Amino acid sequence: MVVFALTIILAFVALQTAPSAPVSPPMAQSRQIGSAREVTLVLPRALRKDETAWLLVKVGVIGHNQIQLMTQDGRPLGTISQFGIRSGKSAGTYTVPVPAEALSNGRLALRLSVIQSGRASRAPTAKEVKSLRLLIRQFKGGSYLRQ
Amino acid sequence: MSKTLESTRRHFLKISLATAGAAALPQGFALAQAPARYRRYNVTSPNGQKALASYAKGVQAMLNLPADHAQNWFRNAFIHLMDCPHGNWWFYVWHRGYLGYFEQTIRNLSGDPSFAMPYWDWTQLPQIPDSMFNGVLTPTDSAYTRFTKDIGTFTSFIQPSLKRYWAGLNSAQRAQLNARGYTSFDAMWNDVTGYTTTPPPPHVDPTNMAFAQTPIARYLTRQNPKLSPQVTYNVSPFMVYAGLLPTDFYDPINQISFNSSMTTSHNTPPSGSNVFATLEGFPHNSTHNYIGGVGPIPNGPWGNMTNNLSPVDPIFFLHHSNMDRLWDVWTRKQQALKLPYLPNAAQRPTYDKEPFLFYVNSDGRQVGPSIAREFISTARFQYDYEPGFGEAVVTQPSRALRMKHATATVKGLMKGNAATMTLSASQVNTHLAGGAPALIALVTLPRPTDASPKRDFDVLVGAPAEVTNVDANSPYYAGTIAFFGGMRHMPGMSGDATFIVPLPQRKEAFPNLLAAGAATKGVAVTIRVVPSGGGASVLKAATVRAM
Repeated sequence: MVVFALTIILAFVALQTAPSAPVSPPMAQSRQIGSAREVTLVLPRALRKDETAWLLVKVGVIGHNQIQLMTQDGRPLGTISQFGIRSGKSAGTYTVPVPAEALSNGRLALRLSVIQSGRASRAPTAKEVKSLRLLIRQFKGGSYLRQ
Repeated sequence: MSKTLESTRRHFLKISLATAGAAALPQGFALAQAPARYRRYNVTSPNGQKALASYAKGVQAMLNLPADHAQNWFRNAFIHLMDCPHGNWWFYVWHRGYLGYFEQTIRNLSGDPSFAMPYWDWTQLPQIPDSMFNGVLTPTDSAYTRFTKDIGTFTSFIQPSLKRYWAGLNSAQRAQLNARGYTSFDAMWNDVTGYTTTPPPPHVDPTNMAFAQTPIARYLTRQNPKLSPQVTYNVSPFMVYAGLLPTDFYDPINQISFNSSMTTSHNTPPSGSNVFATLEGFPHNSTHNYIGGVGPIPNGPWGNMTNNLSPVDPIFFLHHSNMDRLWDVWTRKQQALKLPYLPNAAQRPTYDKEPFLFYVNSDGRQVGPSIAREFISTARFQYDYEPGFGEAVVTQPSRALRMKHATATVKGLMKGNAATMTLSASQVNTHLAGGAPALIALVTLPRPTDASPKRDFDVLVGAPAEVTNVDANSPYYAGTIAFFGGMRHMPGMSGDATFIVPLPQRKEAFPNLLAAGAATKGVAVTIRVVPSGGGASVLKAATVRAM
């Protein structure tokens, strides 16, 4: 695997810094919109051939609630649903592939919401979604995910 | 001679219409290795359905065993509760061993020496296969009531034997259970009942209850078998292809690995520091949970599949057979790219030596000390897989590139047991040219009754209305669906069944392709399913997808 750019640790509610360099200045814009939280993440540059953007979502204690990820124009990116987690434990970090089509002008306009069993969805708290990281990765033989 | 050829082709199509991926992909993908003795088929294929009949016999036999028997159905599920890894890099290899021994047990108890566990390819079929609602193949069946009617019944049945089993565990096994947080029998049993002391006062937390009463043991039903749109995205072609993309078995620096985190033990419970690899974190987790009702049902208790007692639901083993298949696909992709498919030299000793101490073999005896290394290869249990979704990453990455743009499902408009749908001309042309994505149909038809003499049905695509009987060389012939009689013993054996059938790559099957305006208005295609030998269509529903 080739790492062309390790980019952006972006704050979610509370800004965080990256555990590893290089780190771009925080460029996230986060706001609560109704029952969701919207965050815009910025890639340091456009994706190159054979590269894929990945979103790392660090999740806190959510029990059997689920974190729904989509773009702000409604494109699904995945739903985090923990399994095998003991009661009261954090759910871990989830690696979410981001379709190139979900990016616009080098930005990922992300909408996060908590799906609660039997109740209306709501915006996640800072304890539920602890951080978001947007990475660029290139893998040998991975051309099938990029045109 | 021609009859022989025709018969051969029909037979070939009959067994190969199992999956769109299988039929659409070029042959010869397999890397050089010893021939497998057993083949795990797609459950929607005729061979998969045949395996399912043996599976049902095996499940019934395990249900009939006393609680003290290590192969009792519920005792087998407790192996998973007590020992399964999640969120770490032993996830695949531990489940390969668990599945392998279980498969041998079913082979013995079903009396089918060729049995191999079929897989449920949820990318191709994002709903529980219809047959998995038959008899003991669903944990909501009445056969389970005498064990799971309520928690008291279940406790009376299983707890005494489990306590005896617990008392006989050796120190190494106890140490692993301690690492898991099961420092006593009661600590483990609390995960069955949901009993907890935190926060005080002591109470039952239904969201942490592994036990499920019979009626709610599975949320999805024959009438409501589909995964939700969210879960369907999690099992989508894009998500699965992305999950197969990483080239490191495990890389703690770059974080995007095929496997989840390295931990100190396979029994280390997942926590905030664990990174879930894409395939475990998304298709695996969300399919488990949704089948049990997490999402649609508030606050629990939920069905079996939502927790570590999930092997009580027979769908568990088809789900994990598919996960295991995807590991095999990834391994062969790495081999094709001449890349490592195992942990690196520094990691390897740690990975290899992890002890797995709770497996039970096909004779019902404890396997004894075994280590992860023993289960890395599918050769350990002498099986391979009928190709399913994802195979393209091994054979033709450029083909997969196009396949990721699988279109939305096109639902057929039903009229007189014939389905008509409109496809884009470019999709049809690509399909006819043998390119990807290829077009597949999901056809639903009523399962024949026990008394019905007609058990084979031909799928016709684009055939004129007067054509009701075709041979295998017909341009309209897409394949034959054969129902096996081996499941007749099961109660509730009725209803509809859905199969996946690749559309023919013959122009005659798409007569409207050359019609004026087809390029802009689309190509209308009609699908029927008629009894082999002739007769009226029995089709109940059909959809077409490009994959």
